[in-house]
Amino acid sequence: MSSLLYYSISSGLSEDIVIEIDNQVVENREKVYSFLTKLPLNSKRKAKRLGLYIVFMFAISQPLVPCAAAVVMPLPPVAIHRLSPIEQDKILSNKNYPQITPIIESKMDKMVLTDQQIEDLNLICYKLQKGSITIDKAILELRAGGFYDWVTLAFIIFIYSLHQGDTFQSVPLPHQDPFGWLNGKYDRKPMQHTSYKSSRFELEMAGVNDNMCPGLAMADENGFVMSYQEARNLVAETYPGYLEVNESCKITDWQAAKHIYHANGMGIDPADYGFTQQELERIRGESRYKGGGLIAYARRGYRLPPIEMVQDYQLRLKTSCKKAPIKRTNVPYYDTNGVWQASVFATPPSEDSSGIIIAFNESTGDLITGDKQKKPTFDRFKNENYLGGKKWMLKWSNK
Amino acid sequence: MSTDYNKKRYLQLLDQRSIGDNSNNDELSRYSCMLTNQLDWEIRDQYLSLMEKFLNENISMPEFFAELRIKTYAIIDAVVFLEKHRILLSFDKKASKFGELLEDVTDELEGDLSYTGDEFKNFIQENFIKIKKYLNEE
Repeated sequence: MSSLLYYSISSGLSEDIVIEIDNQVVENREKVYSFLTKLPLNSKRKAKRLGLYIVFMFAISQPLVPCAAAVVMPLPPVAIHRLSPIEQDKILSNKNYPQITPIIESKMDKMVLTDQQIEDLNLICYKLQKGSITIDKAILELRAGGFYDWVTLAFIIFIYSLHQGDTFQSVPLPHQDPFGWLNGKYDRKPMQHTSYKSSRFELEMAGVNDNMCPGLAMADENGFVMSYQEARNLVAETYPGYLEVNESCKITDWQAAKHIYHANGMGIDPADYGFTQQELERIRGESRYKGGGLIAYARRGYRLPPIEMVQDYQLRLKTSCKKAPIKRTNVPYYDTNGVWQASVFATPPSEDSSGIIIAFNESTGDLITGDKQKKPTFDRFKNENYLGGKKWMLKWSNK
Repeated sequence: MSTDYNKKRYLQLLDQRSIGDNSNNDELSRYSCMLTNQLDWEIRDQYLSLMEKFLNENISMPEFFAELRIKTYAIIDAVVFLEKHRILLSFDKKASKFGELLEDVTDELEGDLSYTGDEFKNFIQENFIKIKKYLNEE
């Protein structure tokens, strides 16, 4: 189901392959439409179970890269070979010539909502967003409102996807926007030539090709475009403060920014600050360059996460620390560099939320990590009293 | 793993927790871990495909980690969601070990990265082979 619901066409594809892709996309879409519209909802519990399970599988089964490519990747001007009218006539009149697959219109008669239904749906979404109704109540209202089953299911998918994968783009990806998808928003149409410049360096280089790019010529073999001292000054100026958690623990702006790739786990959507998760992951380092961390990141010309985002993350961490029922000291934290003693604030998973672990270096008092955790990872901390990768634990504790 | 799994007991433990009774939390934890592993197992192909994409240099290291992290968050949220709605899955006996093998990769989401050049590629390659081998076992 995850394959080829939407796509982009590469200049390297032959016409036969494009036709094959066209066929497959249409076929897949029809399968999905038919699945959504024919979903049996006779047995309430069974349907709920099936529906929610599908929601989960659907939401996490969408591959990131093809989606991103479909939404944001510009097509190079040479990618599309346009037929001249003569060529086109020749092809159309020649029965033996492989024909371009006709674009089958989606079955919009089954998908279109009336104005009244759209209004109702907006109202339900609004109420859910404001927290005045629960998701269960929203679904009941949808069913009571005479909506099709597919609308209900699409609604669940939409709501559920809000909780997780919307960090990559400020504009929802097709799999996070089922209404747009089902209503033909993502039907094949000429690709918009949009481009996302993800770094200050790239912005400076906009419109300049690699051969004539003075910035790239300036970059050394590590991809650095500024000196260590310049980058250090820039980071220090951008992140000057700290937030105190207690007398021995604080979260400096610098450390919070360094670990900002965990922000999503604390409920912050990077897209709200104009960032993608991929950009934030670059702070940890890139395999083609040596060295991670904020200074190396800044030296490569990537834009720094805004202080507002960093402060948002700090505040959420502090709030979680204050509420944490588990507080431990002298917890070994293992990573690639060795072992550190950590003070840990932990919140176990509950009916409504996942487990959260926030750790501070006991020597510096500064943040080491703060994120929600998978159950086995949380249990490892709870039962075996250590943090960090198992392989690092085995390495540094000589086990 | 499946022999220890009792859906009724799992539901009972979830009900206990919802009324604030945490006396059997350790037992409930075991069930939650099983559910986590099962969800990882359900999308095993996606994990393998992600590793493969990285090994074939179709995606960069930051892209690999971004997607892996989002999948991890999705699993974490799904466990909360499924438990809250009392939607319990049947368990595959291979899920537990798969979860353990995957942990070696997902552990890398935490802390500084020490890898350069081909080191990370080799690391992913080793784990990819290990997981593939396990999946091919009877």
